[in-house]
Amino acid sequence: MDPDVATRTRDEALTDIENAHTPADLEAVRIRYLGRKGLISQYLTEMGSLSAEDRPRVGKLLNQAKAEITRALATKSAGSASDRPSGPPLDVTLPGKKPVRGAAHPITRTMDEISEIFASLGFTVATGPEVEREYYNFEALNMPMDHPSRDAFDTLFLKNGGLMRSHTSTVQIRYMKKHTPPIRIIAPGRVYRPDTVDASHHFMFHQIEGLAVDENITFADLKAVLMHFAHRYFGQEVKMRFRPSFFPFTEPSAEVDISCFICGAKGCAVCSGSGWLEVLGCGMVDVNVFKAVEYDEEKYTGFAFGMGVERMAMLKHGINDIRLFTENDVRFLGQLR
Amino acid sequence: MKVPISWLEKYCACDLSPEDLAQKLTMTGTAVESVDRVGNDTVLTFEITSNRADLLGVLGIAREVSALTGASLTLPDREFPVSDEEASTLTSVENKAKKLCPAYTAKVITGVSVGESPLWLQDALTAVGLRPVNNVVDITNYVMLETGQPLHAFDMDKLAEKRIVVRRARAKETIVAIDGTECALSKDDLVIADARQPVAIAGVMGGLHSEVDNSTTDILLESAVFDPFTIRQTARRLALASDSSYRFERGVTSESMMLGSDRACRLIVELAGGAAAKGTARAGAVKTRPVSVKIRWDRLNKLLGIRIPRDEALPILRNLGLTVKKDSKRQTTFTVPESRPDLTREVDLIEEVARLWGYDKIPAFSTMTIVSPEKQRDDIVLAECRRLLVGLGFYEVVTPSFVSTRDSFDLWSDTEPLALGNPVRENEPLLRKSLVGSVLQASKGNADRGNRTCTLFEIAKAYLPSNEALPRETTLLATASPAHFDELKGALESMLDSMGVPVTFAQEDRLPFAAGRSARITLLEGTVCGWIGDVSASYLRELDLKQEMCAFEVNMNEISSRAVLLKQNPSIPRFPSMSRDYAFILDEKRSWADVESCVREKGSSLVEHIAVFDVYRGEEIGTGKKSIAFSITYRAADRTLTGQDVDEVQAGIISSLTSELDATLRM
Repeated sequence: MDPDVATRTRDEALTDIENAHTPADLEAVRIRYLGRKGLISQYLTEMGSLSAEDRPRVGKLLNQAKAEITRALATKSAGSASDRPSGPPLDVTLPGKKPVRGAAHPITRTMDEISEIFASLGFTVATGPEVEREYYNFEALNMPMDHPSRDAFDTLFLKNGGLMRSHTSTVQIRYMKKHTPPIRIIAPGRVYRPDTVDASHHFMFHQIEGLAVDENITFADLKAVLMHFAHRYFGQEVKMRFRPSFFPFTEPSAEVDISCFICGAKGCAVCSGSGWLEVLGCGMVDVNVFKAVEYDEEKYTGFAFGMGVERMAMLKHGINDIRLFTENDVRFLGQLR
Repeated sequence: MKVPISWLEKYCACDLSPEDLAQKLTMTGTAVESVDRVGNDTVLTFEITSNRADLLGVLGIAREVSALTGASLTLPDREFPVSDEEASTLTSVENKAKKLCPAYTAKVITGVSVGESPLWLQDALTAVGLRPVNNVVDITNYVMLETGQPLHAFDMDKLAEKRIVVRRARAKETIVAIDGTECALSKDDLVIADARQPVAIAGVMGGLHSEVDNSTTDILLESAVFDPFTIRQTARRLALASDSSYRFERGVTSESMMLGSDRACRLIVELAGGAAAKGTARAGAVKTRPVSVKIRWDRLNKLLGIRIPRDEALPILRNLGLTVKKDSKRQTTFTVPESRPDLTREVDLIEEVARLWGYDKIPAFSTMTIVSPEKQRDDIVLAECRRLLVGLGFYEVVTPSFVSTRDSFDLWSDTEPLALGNPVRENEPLLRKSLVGSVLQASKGNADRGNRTCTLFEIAKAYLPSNEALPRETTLLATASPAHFDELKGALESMLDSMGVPVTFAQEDRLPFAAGRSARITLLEGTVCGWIGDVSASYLRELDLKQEMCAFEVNMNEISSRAVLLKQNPSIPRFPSMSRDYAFILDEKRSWADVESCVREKGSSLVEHIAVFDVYRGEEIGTGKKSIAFSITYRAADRTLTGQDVDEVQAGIISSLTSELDATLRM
């Protein structure tokens, strides 16, 4: 076999392709060179007659020729008249017809995101009624009637008795009354306060509160869980600090700040120059709350925490007016998709 | 509460800069909101939590600073020279409301010269935002801010019979307060009265009539303990809040009552002259029993998750003024000072140790077990529903739960909706029984802003009145769309198909839908689960929405409980299908449902799919008639159908339609 056969065959094939004018011509060329009984195939079989040194080189050349012929056939075929559609030239820069895309609301997306983070730590979602009794909203949470500690939790009440819950801690009480420890839940949902509406306040907003009760829950556990949450939600670089505070239903209590990720904790308008953003309230469940749900307060300890969903979303996405969430301007909804 | 550093330093010297002190206080639980330079001084503004009434005076803050820094506390002098007269002969106190006023004391200072306060006193008051009035009044304010004990000075000559009666107000009694407001009193209000009439709203505000002015010579100085709840109720009812009521609501102690009285007397004698009578006229006394609290050291460690050595924890509690009553390696019993009524339980002491030792020293380390959370069916279905609708191009909205009468509809309940007693938006006091009104309002809001009208949806609760005290909270999905009825219905059908929940539609009129253009949606076993229709023109007019709209609302509780979560056993038909088109002329009053059920009955297992592709009305087919064109896809599960097979089935279908529905085959 002639060692130059590959190159020669390829050249002949290219010429034949050049001279082919119809799809039928092209097909004939293909069969002649690349078909099962075609020339390339034939030469590949005859390679046995070559020396051991020549065989690899010629084999490679034949396969290369095959590839080139295949490419040339394809190019010619695509460019041929029968393949080209008729009609005006295509302006590829014209905008496409975009189908309408919907958007989930940033509040539900934020609640889902936060719920998922806590789900990864074993927290189950619990829900409860929005229209509540005084007992669940105050007394069971260690806020007796007419106590100044209620000021921070003023409510919208109903004409015929009952009130709109001012926090989702009500769900925690209901859950504890129905279950025995170990408990690990988060309670997301709408809450209501009699606040006049402005850029940072609304009478209706959303909270996510969490509760864990077991035999050996500690303050260190609380710190660890919230640290994990902050890193997942705001980023690994964020720092956290716990400041002693007071809530009627936790003791010890803390307010939790994260380092302001907007100014890198240098101080800006959002963090009022302090470098810290207050994001959570938390603490160890007060023994009076355990008494209300009839848990053995010697045997069990627990922690609870709470956050405002609007606040979280506003911090993370740079939204500066809470009213945007309930105005539902589709331009706003679409930008946060 | 504002505290100038210069004032604080009278009781506790502090090496730290104001900023460092503020930082340390904040990080141990006494929050400083701001540090401001006022003249030559620096003023710290505190945010005091409701459990720390002891911090509502500079002395209390000083105690906290001393516990924090270890600096020693210097208590102010409280002695003063007394005359030979006894206060109890110059006046008397009759307490007719001992439950509302556990203790009342009155001191008498005669022959005072009321005038301008010295500069240091005026400066101290202005630095914290109070306006100087005269030396006596200023002293009462000063001592209140110093000790946390509110005081009041009466011009004794203006008190009828120069004596005090502590009692409930009588119905129809009124008083003009020192700020000029005329207050109508009720028997739930505690007043300080003279022999004739109320002279002060106890614990809230003094009366104008008996206030100390430049002509006053004899003072009756009140220092008392009032019941916090009564003061709170009265202050709220009369809409009169004061620095006094604020402190009484949080609770004062008999210790502060006596200290405040002594301090004020001393300063009045010093700055306004006059002679203080010996002793105090009083009625009632607060029984103080020393409070003991035991703390177990291993409980401290167990709750916090870190070992705080007993040798470090014990001094912290001592520095706060607690004294050791009984001590052992495992537990210690402390006597709690009267100034800290908030410390009554072991966990309260644990918190004191933790906050002063430093929360930041407790590691963030968890040994909580690995647990798998349960996912609730409803949450899964609602999340999927949301995904489906967003995928169809819908925008999710969140609207307030309260509506006006205009936007309240009886789609699910015709009972009167529940109403708020104190709505923030007065024209929207009703707890909504359906969502569609709110969603259409959101559509209108967008139209007003010139936005292209999109399809909006909301998944939220409706509050359906029930026989019990609390409403039945039902999760609904409502949608408002500028699309045509058939497009919105198609979207709904897509969604329900995905969830595996079959429904039927039947025409029924219901507000807010247009008459003849709405349907009741029912689950197979008959439960109504929703409504769909064109929105009525009159409601659109009320909303001033110029776009024609379509809407649906479905009960997600019902749908969720029937949704198929796990799809199994997919199968693809093995044999080819055959499609044929038909057009039938029918009477207008016949519905597609009639046609379809006929076809399915006659076609049974060979009819795989029926698709309507046209509904035509025109002169040539006659009035009161319509032509429905549809295709039937025939397929057998076990064989390839022949033309003959299909012909046979088809014949049955055609004859059935013709005879049962009076249909005429058009092609």
